[in-house]
Amino acid sequence: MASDLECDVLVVGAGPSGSVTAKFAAQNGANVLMIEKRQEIGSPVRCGEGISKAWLPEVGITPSPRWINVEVEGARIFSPSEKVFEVNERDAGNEVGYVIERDAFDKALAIDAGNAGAEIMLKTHAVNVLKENGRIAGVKAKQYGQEFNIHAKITIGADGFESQVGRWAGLPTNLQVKDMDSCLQYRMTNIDSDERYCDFYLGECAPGGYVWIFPKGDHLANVGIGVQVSKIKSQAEVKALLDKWIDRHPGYAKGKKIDMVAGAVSISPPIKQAVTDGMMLVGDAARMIDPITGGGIANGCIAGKVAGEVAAKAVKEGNYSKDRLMEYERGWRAKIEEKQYRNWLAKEKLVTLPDEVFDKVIDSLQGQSVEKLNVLNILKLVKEKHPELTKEFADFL
Amino acid sequence: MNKKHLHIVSKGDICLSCGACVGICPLDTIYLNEWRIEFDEVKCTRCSICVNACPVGAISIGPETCTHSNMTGTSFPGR
Repeated sequence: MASDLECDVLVVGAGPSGSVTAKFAAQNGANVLMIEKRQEIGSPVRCGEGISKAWLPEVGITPSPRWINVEVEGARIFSPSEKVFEVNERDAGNEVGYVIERDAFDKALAIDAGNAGAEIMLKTHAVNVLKENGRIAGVKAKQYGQEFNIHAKITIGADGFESQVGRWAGLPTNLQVKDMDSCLQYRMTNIDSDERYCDFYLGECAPGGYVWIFPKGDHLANVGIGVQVSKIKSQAEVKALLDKWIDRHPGYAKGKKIDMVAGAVSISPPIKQAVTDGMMLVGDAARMIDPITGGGIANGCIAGKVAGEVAAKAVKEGNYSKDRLMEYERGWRAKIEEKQYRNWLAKEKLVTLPDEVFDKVIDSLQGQSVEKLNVLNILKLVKEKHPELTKEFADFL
Repeated sequence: MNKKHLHIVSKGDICLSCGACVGICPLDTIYLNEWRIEFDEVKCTRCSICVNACPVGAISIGPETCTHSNMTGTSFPGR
């Protein structure tokens, strides 16, 4: 039996949300331990690797050539008959985004956490939470076949989409099947794509989701699909849909696959509660993924900063109660909740639209420009042209 | 059909250990043990959400698929 460990703040999971939480907790004086079940932080990659960039300064992330593959100039949204709505940098200001090397990105954030003073343990799984007097007091962990307890004043669940920490703690992380996408992606080389753009293909090619092409430079790109779980009718349909899409596009059909990545994302409204006595959830574990884009890194890191700061303050005060940690609950909601809820309402509408409507909408947007490239501005344009499609969430636009 | 004779199997030659099924399972029945997908046979209600949700079709329900040669994670009687 390995000996037990103690810390102020225990972060379970060294993805972006966990590392940002660990960094800000350590920077603010807490004694932090971050555990990661994998042997290598960031690997294997489970991500489309496209991120926006406007939020990076807010969480203290400095763009680095170590993890940026391509700085894209814009995005193109393709309708089912492949009419294109193009938003480029010229229209959208310098607000577009990067295609990143996700394993290097995750390592860079973990390095920041380590440099801020957080301890990091690899190949360490949480196998259950510890409960003491009704509060979460750490986890039972396993490393190299040995089980031991990690006692923590505050435990952060940053264990991703398949989060078990949240479930063990009794937090309401369960999702409806319509609020999840099942995803598959190939990294492909020798393809013909316009490397200035991230491309999105909507409609029946990816029911309730989309096909994406995120360029990684030199004829290499991530070609992936997300499909709403409630719309999947047969076994291996997600793979079949992606393969079919690739076959129908000669510029991609000639490509060679060098990597295959699968996973799931939540496309849900904000969860009801991300905090309990002694514990906070961040990132995908807290279902913070944007329901329209399926991107989770920005929201996870933004919430992680709040969680880290609140955890450090709570430790200083010696108060780890749910009431004290509500500062985090209010903090992440102030930054994320309204946008996530609005995008969830928009997603609920989008998944009902037949291909003809997507064609009509994208057609009407051609030649239009937005001030900044983001979901809100695109939805505002749709509202202008097709108010009937946005009436369920017009108040948020 | 007798529930006891049903199994969920994760076929080792197809499964990418991506964890999608772990998050999707409404009852916390599926878990990753190291990189192996395992199931809690007692808790599983055979709702079969995971079967279609698996992006690559690595999960099957039914006695016909339960041959120990084609899986890494067999059904487990509990943790």
